[in-house]
Parts: sequence; C-alpha cells; structure tokens
Amino acid sequence: MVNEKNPVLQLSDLYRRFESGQIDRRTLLARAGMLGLPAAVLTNFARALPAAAQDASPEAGPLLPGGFQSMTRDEFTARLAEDYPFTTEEQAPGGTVIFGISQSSSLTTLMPPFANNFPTQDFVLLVFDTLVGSYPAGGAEFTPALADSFEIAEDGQTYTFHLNPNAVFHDGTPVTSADVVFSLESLANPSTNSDYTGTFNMTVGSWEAIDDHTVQIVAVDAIPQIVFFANSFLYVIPKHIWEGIPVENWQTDPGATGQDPSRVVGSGPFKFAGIDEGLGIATFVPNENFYDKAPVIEQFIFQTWPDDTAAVEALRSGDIDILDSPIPNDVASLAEQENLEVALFPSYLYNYFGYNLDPEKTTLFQERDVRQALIFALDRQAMLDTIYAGLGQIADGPQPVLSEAFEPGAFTPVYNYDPELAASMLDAAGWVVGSDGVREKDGQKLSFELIYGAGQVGDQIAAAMQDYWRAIGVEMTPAPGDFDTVYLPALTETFDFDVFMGAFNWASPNGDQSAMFMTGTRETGFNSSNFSNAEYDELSQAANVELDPEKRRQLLIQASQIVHEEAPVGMLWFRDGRVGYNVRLKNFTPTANGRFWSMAWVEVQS
Amino acid sequence: MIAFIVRRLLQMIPLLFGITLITFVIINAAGSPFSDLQFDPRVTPADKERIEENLGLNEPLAKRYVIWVSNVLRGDLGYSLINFRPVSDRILGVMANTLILSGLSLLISLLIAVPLGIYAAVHRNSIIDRLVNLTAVAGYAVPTVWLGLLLIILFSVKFSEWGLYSLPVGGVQDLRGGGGFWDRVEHLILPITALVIPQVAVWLFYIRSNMLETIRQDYVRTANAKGLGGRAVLYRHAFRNALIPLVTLLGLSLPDLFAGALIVENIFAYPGMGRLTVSAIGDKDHTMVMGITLVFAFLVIIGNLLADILYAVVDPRIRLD
Repeated sequence: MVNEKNPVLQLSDLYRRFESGQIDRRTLLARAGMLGLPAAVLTNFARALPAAAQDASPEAGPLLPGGFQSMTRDEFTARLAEDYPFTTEEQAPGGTVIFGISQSSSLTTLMPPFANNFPTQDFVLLVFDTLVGSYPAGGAEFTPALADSFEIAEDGQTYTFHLNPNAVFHDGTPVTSADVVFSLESLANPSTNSDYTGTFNMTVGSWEAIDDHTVQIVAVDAIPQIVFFANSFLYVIPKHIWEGIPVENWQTDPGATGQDPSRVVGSGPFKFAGIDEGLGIATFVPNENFYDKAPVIEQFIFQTWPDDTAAVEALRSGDIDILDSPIPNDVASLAEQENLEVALFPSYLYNYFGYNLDPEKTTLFQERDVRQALIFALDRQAMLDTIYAGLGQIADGPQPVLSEAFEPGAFTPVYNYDPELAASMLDAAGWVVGSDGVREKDGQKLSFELIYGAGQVGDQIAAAMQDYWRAIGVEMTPAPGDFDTVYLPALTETFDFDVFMGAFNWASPNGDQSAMFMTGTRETGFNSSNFSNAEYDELSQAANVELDPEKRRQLLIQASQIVHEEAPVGMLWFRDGRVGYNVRLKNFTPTANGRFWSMAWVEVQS
Repeated sequence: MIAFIVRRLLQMIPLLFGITLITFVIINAAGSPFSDLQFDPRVTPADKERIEENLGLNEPLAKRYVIWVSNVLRGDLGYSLINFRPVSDRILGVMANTLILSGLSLLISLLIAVPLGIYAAVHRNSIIDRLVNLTAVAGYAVPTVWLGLLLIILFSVKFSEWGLYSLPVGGVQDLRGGGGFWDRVEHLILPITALVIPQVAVWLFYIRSNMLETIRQDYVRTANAKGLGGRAVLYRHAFRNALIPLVTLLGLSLPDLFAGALIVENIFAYPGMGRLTVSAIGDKDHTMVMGITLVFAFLVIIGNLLADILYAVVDPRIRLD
C-alpha cells in the first residue's frame, strides 16, 4: 500500500517495483521526479540503481568501513588556536557592539524552528545551541557544538552524539538528551509550522535518547552526512519551557516573538535581553555560564538601517560597529578609512542566466553552440568590475566557491571573453547576419527577451549583456518584471520565457546541484531551463550515494563538467560576502561559515 | 452641529469598508510573504504550501477578508506575518516616536513659515519676499532622500572627520548608554531638518498667498482708513482671517502626524510609523499593511471631519447643517 501522503514511502514503493523489474530506471526517475521531493533528497534514493543496490546488500560488507569519528572539542580548540591564534589569548571585558544591517525587516523570530532568513538565523544561533557547528574557515567540516563529538556507525546512517555534560540553559536547567529529542520531535511535527519540517522528515528517520547525554539519530538511508547538510540547523530548545504549549501556538508565543525575554531560553553563548520596538533594536548579553568560551563584551545590539547608503555612513561615523553587506561600490572607500576594515570572503551566492530548453517555449537554444557562443560573447570580468566593484570571481563551472566540488580550472571549454570565437561559432552553426544586423537561420531571428526581477542591479547586468550580444549580431530585449508576481511565476509555474537572469544563494556546501539540473526537476526544483541529460543524472545520483568523500567529489566534478559544457545556464560570477567593521572590535573575524563565530573573543577597544 | 458629526461618523463606516477592501485585494495581488522560501534549497514546495495552509493564506480572498473584518470588529488586528507579534503592539510600539518627530516638525515649520509668510506678503515684491519665495521653491523641490543623505554626510560624517561637533547618523538615542533628554534631541535634529525644509516651503506658500488675498480685502482698507495702526490692522484683522484656511489645512494634516515620514524615517533608521509602513509593504506582511491602512483611513476621515468643524468654529459665516 502506498501512503499517498508520504512521498518517501511512495519512492520506496517505486524502488521496489524497479527492483522487481516492473519499471525501468528511467521510469523510476521520471515518476520519482513527480513526487514533490527536493531533488537533493530524491537522488539519495538512486541507491536503487543496480550498482548501489548491491553495495547495500549485507554480503557487500559495511557501507562505511570503520565508521566515522568527528573532531573532538580538544582537537577543535587546538585547530582554532593554530588557525586563529587570538583564540588562546585573554580579552579585556566590557563594551557594546552594535551590528547594523540594511534590510527592511528586523529579526523575525527568537525561536529556532521559525528562523528562515539571514540575519535571524545567525542571531538565533547565538542564543540557541546546535548539535554540531561548522568550521569557521569554510568547507563542510563539522565541529563540536552542544555535542562534544559524534560518530557515524558502519551502516552509514546511525549517528551518535555525545552532549557536553556541563551545558545548561540560561535559566540554569541542565541540557539533556530529553531536550534534544523534544527539539527533533517538534521539528518533525508539521503543525509546528517550521519551514524545514519537510526536508527533515525526508532525511531523518528516527531518534532516541541513549542516556542523559547521548542521543542517537538514524537517517532514512546511508546518505553522505546528509542529515546535517539538509538540516545544518539541529538546534536544541528547552523542553521544560515549551512542552506545555501546543505547537500551533509557538510562533506567536511571546517566548518566540521575543516580547517575553524570560521565555527565550537557550544554551548558547549569548542570552536574549529584549526587543525594543521604540528604539528599533534587539539586545543580547553574554551567557557567563556557557560551557565553552563565553563572550566578554557587555552587550551585542542588533539594529536595522533600512537605507543602505545611510547605513554605510553610520559605519563610517562609528554609530555602528559592524555593517553586513555594505554597498559594493562603497567597499573600497570604507576599507581605505583608518578606523574601518572590510572582510571579504566567498559566499554561496552567484549570478547566472539560463536558457529555456523546452522546445514548446522556444527553439532558439536547442543547439549547444548557440548556448556556448552567447557565454563566450560576454566580458564577465568587466561586468563584475563595473557592477559589483570586482567583489567576486568569474564563475568557472557551476559549483560556487564554497562548494566541496568547487574545482576551478577543471572544466572545458574555458569561457574567456572572445567575441570573434562567439561570432564564428554562430556562423558555423548557420546563424548568419541578416540585413538588419541580427542573425537568422531558417527564417528565425536570433532575437529574444531576457526576463529578470526588476531592480537597478538587474538593469545594469541586462544592459551589459544586451551590448555584448548585439556586438555579435544577437538581439536581446531586457524584460524586467516584478520579482514575485511576474518573474517567479515565469520561472516556476508557466515557464514562458526565452532566457532568465538572476542570482541564487545555494546555501549548502555539499555540491549536490541535482535540484537545478536533474531531469524532471523543473516543477519540483530549480531547473527552470528544463535541462535533461542522462549522463548528468547518473553521475549526480551516484555522487549522492557515495559515502567516500573524495570519490563523491570526483563524481560531482564530472557531473558539473557536463553542465558546464552543455551550458543550460551561463554562470556569470560567484560573489564575495562582505562585512564592514570598526577596528576597535579586536579579534572580530567574520568568515563564510559564520558572521559571529568569533564573538566570544571580541574585545572592544577604546 | 451634533447631527452633522453623527452623520459624518456614520458615513465613515462604508468608507472604511471600501478602503480596507481595496487594500486587501491589492496587497494580496502583490504575492505571498513567503515567496522567498522558494529559493531556499532546504524548503520543499510542499513546506511552503503547508505553512500557507497553517496560516490560512490559501483560503479564498473573500473568506479571508470576512475573517479579518470580524476579527477587527472584536478589536483584534491579528499578528504580523513577518515576526508574528500582534499588529497593534507593533503600531503602538513606534507611535510615540512618530508623534514626536512629525509633531515637532509641524510645530517648527509653522513657527518659521507663519511669520515669514506674513512678512513676505506684507512686503510683497521686496528683496526679502523674493528671497523667501526662491528658497521656498528650492526647499520644496529638493528630494528628501537626497537632502537627508546630504545632511548625514555633512553634519555626521564630515563634521566628525574635521574634528567638529557632529550629530548622530540615525536612530532614536545613543545605544552605548545614552537616552537622556539632550541625547534624544541630538538624534532628532537631522531628521527634523530634513522634514522641516520642504514643509516650511508648503506652509509659506499658503500663508503668503492667503495673507496677500486678505490684505486686499475691503475691510482691511476700511480699517486702515479708520486710522488704525498698521500692526493692529495686520494682526487683529487681516491675519486672523488669513488663518481660516490654515486651520483647515491643520486638520487635514492630522493623519500625517500619525502616518510618519516614509522617506525620512527610513534614511535616519528612525523606528516610526513611516518605516513600519515601508517595511510592511516590502515584506508583503498582509496583516500589518491592513492594520496600518485601517488606522490611517480612520485618521484621514477624522482629520477631515475635524477640519470641517474647526472651519465652522473660526468662521461664523459657515453653517455645518
């Protein structure tokens, strides 16, 4: 019996039918694509493929020979000491740190299940602990957090976490396995109204408290550390505060909205002191009882600065100490100022454009040469320099810099700016320049619209692309539209477009881009181009069941090469994250993996 | 008079329905506040649907409007869809800030505009009159965004660079242990300046032209002919009559006091109604936008009513019924 409500069960049913020979692999994939699963999860079930299925049989031995042992807290501390020597130094206490962000909305919640945006997640994670963290320097390495360490068993799917025995909530109650179990249960409950329940339930199968400080989590399958990649946010909330309140009421509870600070109780390095609507701020103070390094500053204030130019000036004048994402064109002048510094680091954010490969929508981009030629025609470095003040790097392959599978130089062809090559490729493909200067073939003009979300930056990028393409006889008309009501529906519902252009924040280092490029993920994922390539599907699925990290990486790189060469999308550039700050904040070190990981060591100098 | 007021208050009811209904349709057409979730690789389309269902956002528009109205009638404006705090709490939380900023700006604008306007009218075509006119046109024409940023760059950033006394860029008070009276005043100077400059210009035009009209009236000539002194004529006779339209305008600007300044509050990171409105619209926070609209619509209607009443009070020739 197939449970209509659970796509995971439907998928395993499909798998059984595949195994018994009722359906072939393509049918399996096609049907699986229609279940509404995120492709990242979907591909994990490609274990049904013969090769992987044999590995899974008991005769083949353990999936993860010897299991996996995470970094311990001592090892973590030692590595920090080596990479960031200030973590071994003493800091003078006191001082206020004011964090500014130019964004209209304020902190949207103080309760982890509802934190679904930056900067809310970052601030909520100052107050609440997660089971594991990630190493500040970047990459996909897990560090101790509430758990001193964890192991993965040889089956590749049983995770055992050892909680720090000294951890207490801000109200003095010890943190135990019961709190972890309670947190996981609430995340799994659809009525809690957390955004991440779906992904959680598709990756995490069961959990139990082994003893007061040991928790075991079993993933639905032997997925390469997927439990955390999909749920990098395994937070722990206090059972004694929340168990009496129906989950339906959590989101509006004063303990979640921050109106009642006494009910915002976590076990993280900072305590929540309150939100003041009249001052437009939220205040956090150190948790002196933190089991690891406690911060020494007196208070940490969050303030929104709706106007981004004014926010930059507030940083200049010293009104605020930290400004997240200052305007790119101001970065150079901020960095020049004596009392300021701007930290630049890679991010998951990239700009790109994509062709519509669905012949029912347009037949212009069916030839690979056309798709490649249009990329060759763009001077991406010049565009990045003008539009984003050069803050980023030209995309080489589809994997962003922070991805495990980022491998610059591995991909062919190299899309260097080469308008002559672009023109000759189009010539060779039979697209000849007509009397009006626009290329045509078989009576069809190489003329199309570029849709994008209306805005100044989009206009700049579109205008540049228009110029570069016009130079090789291609006519593109920029078609900006309201992001929510015009652009998004075209990309995710109607697919009525020629070429789209936008930015994407692929906030996961695990390199799995199947949600973007795998067959059948147009409706369920982000594959607006409707790209379909059997070899890519196979490689990508193989990568997501490969437990050996290096082998997995190689598979992802091979899959990425196909995307790079087939060019369903043109990757423009990977953007830098940037945080401007006042140098009076000694030791403040924002990195790609966290704006605030160094807050415990920050000293405010006068 | 009482019948008039009652009638106007009753007329208010369909008006409020109309305004809120239109706003409801528009803000819903602008899309879901959760559309960003579509781009979070960890959120499935099913999650987004579940959340919208949990919050009742997938119900038919008409049904949702009826629910909203019935809640409002019970005094419940609902929760913000962005930070889930009660809409009324969020509005009340910033109202005082807005009243201070807008109230002081209006007061200062009038204190500058009234005497200047009268002076300019009385000394029509003098150099001062022309200068006042020119400045007023300039003040009115300057975009507030530009003016605000210019003030910040000069008085906060450059003054501090030059080692002069500098003003804070924005906010309500110094967050590093401030909060005293002078600290609050310091934080108000730049936003008030940015508001007053264009406001003075508007008031100046009204006052000057009203005054000009009044001093050309027969009764002023009569008063002059009776041999009354210039000042007495100007202030006791002409000015008081020139004030009548001014009173109306004051009534009409009542909602502005509460609505706050959209642009100035944003630039100066001043938590008030204007900024709340802008962010609610940007976030597509349906309930927040509806709550704010209701409050403003109510104030506009009351302001109009007040203007009519005041008009009758200051001008006995006008009968309300």
